[in-house]
This record gives sequence, structure tokens and C-alpha cells, in this order.
Amino acid sequence: MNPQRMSYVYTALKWLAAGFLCIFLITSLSGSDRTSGTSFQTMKDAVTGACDMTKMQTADNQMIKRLYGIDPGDYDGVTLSYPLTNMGAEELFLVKLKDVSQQDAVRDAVDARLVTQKNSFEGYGIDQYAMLERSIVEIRGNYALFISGDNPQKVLNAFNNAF
Amino acid sequence: MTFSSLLFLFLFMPVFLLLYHLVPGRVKMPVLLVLSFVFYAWGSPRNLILLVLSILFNYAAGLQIDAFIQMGRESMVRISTILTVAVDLAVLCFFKYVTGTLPIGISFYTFSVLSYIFDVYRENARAETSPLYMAVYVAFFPKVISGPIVRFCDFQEQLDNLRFSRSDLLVGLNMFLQGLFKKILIADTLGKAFGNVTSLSTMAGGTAWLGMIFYSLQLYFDFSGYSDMAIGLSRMMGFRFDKNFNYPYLSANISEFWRRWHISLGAWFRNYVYIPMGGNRCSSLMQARNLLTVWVLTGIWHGSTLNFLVWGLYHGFFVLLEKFVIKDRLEAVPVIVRILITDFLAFIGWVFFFSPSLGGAIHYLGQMVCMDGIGFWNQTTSFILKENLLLLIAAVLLCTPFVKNMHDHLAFRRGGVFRAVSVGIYVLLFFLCVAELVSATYTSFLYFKF
Repeated sequence: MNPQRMSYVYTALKWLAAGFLCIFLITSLSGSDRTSGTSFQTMKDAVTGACDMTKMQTADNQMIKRLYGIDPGDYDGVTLSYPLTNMGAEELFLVKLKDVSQQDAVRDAVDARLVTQKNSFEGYGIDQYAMLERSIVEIRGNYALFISGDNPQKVLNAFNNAF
Repeated sequence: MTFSSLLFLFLFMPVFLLLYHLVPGRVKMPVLLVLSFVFYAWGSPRNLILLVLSILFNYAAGLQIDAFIQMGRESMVRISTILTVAVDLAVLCFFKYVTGTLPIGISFYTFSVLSYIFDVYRENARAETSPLYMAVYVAFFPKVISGPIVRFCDFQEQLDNLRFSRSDLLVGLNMFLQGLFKKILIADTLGKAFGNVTSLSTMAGGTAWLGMIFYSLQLYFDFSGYSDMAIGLSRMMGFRFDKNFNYPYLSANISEFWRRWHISLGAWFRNYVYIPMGGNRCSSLMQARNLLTVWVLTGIWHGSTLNFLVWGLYHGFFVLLEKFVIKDRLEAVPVIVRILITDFLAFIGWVFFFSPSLGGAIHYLGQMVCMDGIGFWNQTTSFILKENLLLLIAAVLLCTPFVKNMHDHLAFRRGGVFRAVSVGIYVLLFFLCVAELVSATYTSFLYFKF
């Protein structure tokens, strides 16, 4: 085939690929990786406002590292409220990521924490275990939420509204 | 998937190497491509669609430009190149500055496809007619996520003359392991020390200085470790890429630092931005413009926030200062002093790099000059220094070729028992890495976010 004809074929293929690229970009705007411009404080207020915080205490950075194995300095914002006593299973963990590549690290940290908690209560803390079973892990764009409590769905709704 | 994960070390890498070396020659590239896609898509399959679309778009664009060159239609060659580059950059900027969510490796593979388009446009390379080879160039799993950014013309040459010997496997494995040790045993440990510093709400000046030093060393071992692993893996397949780091903290000035740090990115900007703009074959004013352009682009390539732009300009300023103001006067200063000054300037620059914003960087610099009001040294500073002193000494030593030269001299020149000891040390360090990987939480590479 002569170069003239080939140039038509390549041009068509090139702009076809460009068209699919455009579609990909448009869908990216509404995909699960879409980030939120909501400030960490606003998000924190929204989720703590939807949660019974009386059975929890706020963790400092050392405690966050101990319980979740992550360094709060690596993220734009981290807050953890954990049970007041060893017999509690209520927990609220909210992280604002610097970028979505940190999603896996946070997901692993939350999964590990959930396994530890379930192992702690398995066999004797029936209510606590059930609460952990109902807990919700939501990782969306630049935010991650882990909520274990009486009404995790209410906290998730608040999270989604604020996102 | 990352190189420093158990899944990669004990499943992906051995399976890949076995398959790659057992299959007949004509099947090697399809195997390499399929497993590169698997590697890239692991954890985020959606991003693979973008990578494939980018490959298709640039594959067709390269052939289109080549067809216009053959037809002698210069204006169409230029228009087609400009439009292609514009689309590639628009996609990168869309994710970098609009969504703020970067598909992993996009900064690196975009620079790879741009290298292809520029090489075809400048007729440094022929347009790739094989979509398989084009896809292998872009998606090549050792480099797709964090480089090194290999020029298309160099990669094409390697593909055309791919040879493999048993020594490639050994040399590559050696490089890979050295990179793994750098990442797991040095960088991640320094990262923990840096994390301990940044988790303090207030800190003495000395503590902030220690934090800056920890991060500067961590970044070097993290990224150069990744690069060593990438280059080592490539070597195990028969590809030979130049090193990406050459003891940068032994540089005697900032210009030299950038010839030794992330060498492939510097080379990319030199070949595709600085030289086409006129390089240093023009007036001093135009040279300054060219250099500043490169440094602004280097800054914003790393991130969308103002601190990265300031970081780029900061380095650009010192490069200009050395080139036009200080010139040869630095030669009179003892080399050790020049190295210390260069490291000091580079380390200060990393404060802009690790801070989440310009305000954060200024705040941290303020803490370094005791703005927290708790003096320069306190018990926390002593504790952190004492806890990490051995690590710091080891890291500083490993920033020089001293340990490597001594090892190579003993293991390869004297041989005998020294070689056996060397093998023993490698095995021990590997087990330490595995133990660390089993017990530790996932730690990503610092450059994955770019």
C-alpha cells in the first residue's frame, strides 16, 4: 500500500484511539478513583457527627502506628477513635490520602486491624464480633473510612454526602 | 504489584523468568507483553485500559508521522507531531491537575511514548511497524511504573540485537538483590525514622534537621533501589540499560548532582527540551531561558502543587548561579567542602519535595531554625539520633562506592573464602528482607506517586 493510503489508515486508527481516550477520561471523572475536594476537617466533622463517639477515645499518632501500622505523616489527614475499654469494638478510622496509590496500603492496614479485632472477640465476645462483622470499609478516591459501631450505614451515608 | 512484595519475589519473578527463558525466541516478546500487562494491571485493572489506549494512539501516530515523512509533507509531519504530543500531555495533565488521581506510572510511560514520537519525528528511529514491539517498549514491566525512562531509539536497538548469556542472569540478579537490600533494609528503615520525626507536633531544630537528613537518604535508597531492581530485572532478560543513579551525594555542585540523580529523566529533558530549544549553543540569556524552562518542567512533572514548582526553580537558580556567576571560582574550594555544600542545598530542596504544600515546606524550614520555640536540641533529638546512629552511618557509607568497591575487590579479585562470605552475606540479607516483608505492613516506593 502506498504511503498516501497508509496515512489515511493510520490517521483513522489514531483518532479512533483518541476518541476512546476521551471516553476513558470522561468516565474517570465519575469513577471510584475520583478524588474529593472536601477538606479533612469537614469530612471528619461529617462522619463523627453521624457516630456515637461516647464509647471511643481519640488516638494519638503513636497509637495509630501501633494499631494500624501506618505513619500519619504519610497522609494528608488521619484520625482514629478506638474503644475506651478492651471490651469495646467501636472504632472510627478516617484517612485522607495524598494520592490514590496509597489506597492499597490503607486497605491492607484496615484489613489487618479488622482481622486482629475479630480474632480478639471470636468465641467469647458475640456482640462485639457481630458488630465487627457489620463494620464497613469504604475506600473511595482520596478518602478511606473504617467504621465499626451500632449504625455504620449512617456514618457511611454521611461520608458519601460529604465526599 | 511492586518488586519488593512477596508475591513478586516468590511467584511473579520466578514464573516469569522460567517462562521467558524456556519458550522459543519468537514467543519471548508475547510472553513479556502479557506478563507486563498482568504486572501493571495487578491491583488496578482499569488503568491497563488507559495504558493500552495510549499505546494504540501513539503506535498509529508514529506510523502516520512516518508516512507523512515518506511523502515529503513537512507541514503535515509537524502538525501531526504537535497534535500527538498535545493529546499525550493533555491526558497526563488531566490526571495530574484535574482529577488529582494518577494512574500508576503515567508520568513515566507518557515520557516513553513522547520519546517515541520525538524520535520518529526527528528520524532518530524508524516508526515501529509491530504493535507487539511498540507495546513491549511502553509496557515493559521493569520500567513501566517508575522508569528508568529509556529512549525509544535505544530500546529499539536493544530489541533488534537482543542477546542473552548466563552472566546476564547473574549480573542482573546481583543488581536486583542490591536494589532490594537498599529498599527494604535501608530506605524503609530510614522511612520509619523520618515518620517518627514528622509525627511530632512540635520539634527542636536539631530534630527537624535529622528528619530532613533521614528523608534525603531514604529518597535516594528508595528510588535508586527501585532503579537497580528495574535495571537488574531487565538485564536478566538480556536488556542492558544505563544506571539511573551514580552516587549523587558525592557531587561537587548542583549541575553535577543532576547528572548523577535520576539520570534518565535529566537525559530526557536534555534530549527533548533543552537541546531542541538551542541548548547552550546560543546567547547567555537564551541559555538561561532554556535552563529555567527545563527546571520549571522538571518541577511540575513531579507534582501539581506549588512546592514542586518552587523546588524546580530552586534547583534552576543554583544551576544558573553555577553556570553564569560562580563559574570556575568553585574550583578553588576543597572538593569535600563543595560536596558538603551541594548536599546541604540538595537536602534543603527535599524539604519542598516531601512537604504536602508550600506552606508546609516553609513551616518545616521554620522548625529547622527553632521556630517551634523549644530550642535546637532536646531529649527527643538525642533519643532519635541515638536510636538511628548506626543506620545513619551505614546509609552515609553506602552513599559512597566504598562498600561496593571493597566487596568487589574481595569477592571478585581475591576470591576464595571471600567469595563464599559474599554469597553468605547476600543470602543473609535476602532472608532479612523476607522477614521484614512478612512482618511489616506494605510500604510503597516514594516515586510511585509521580
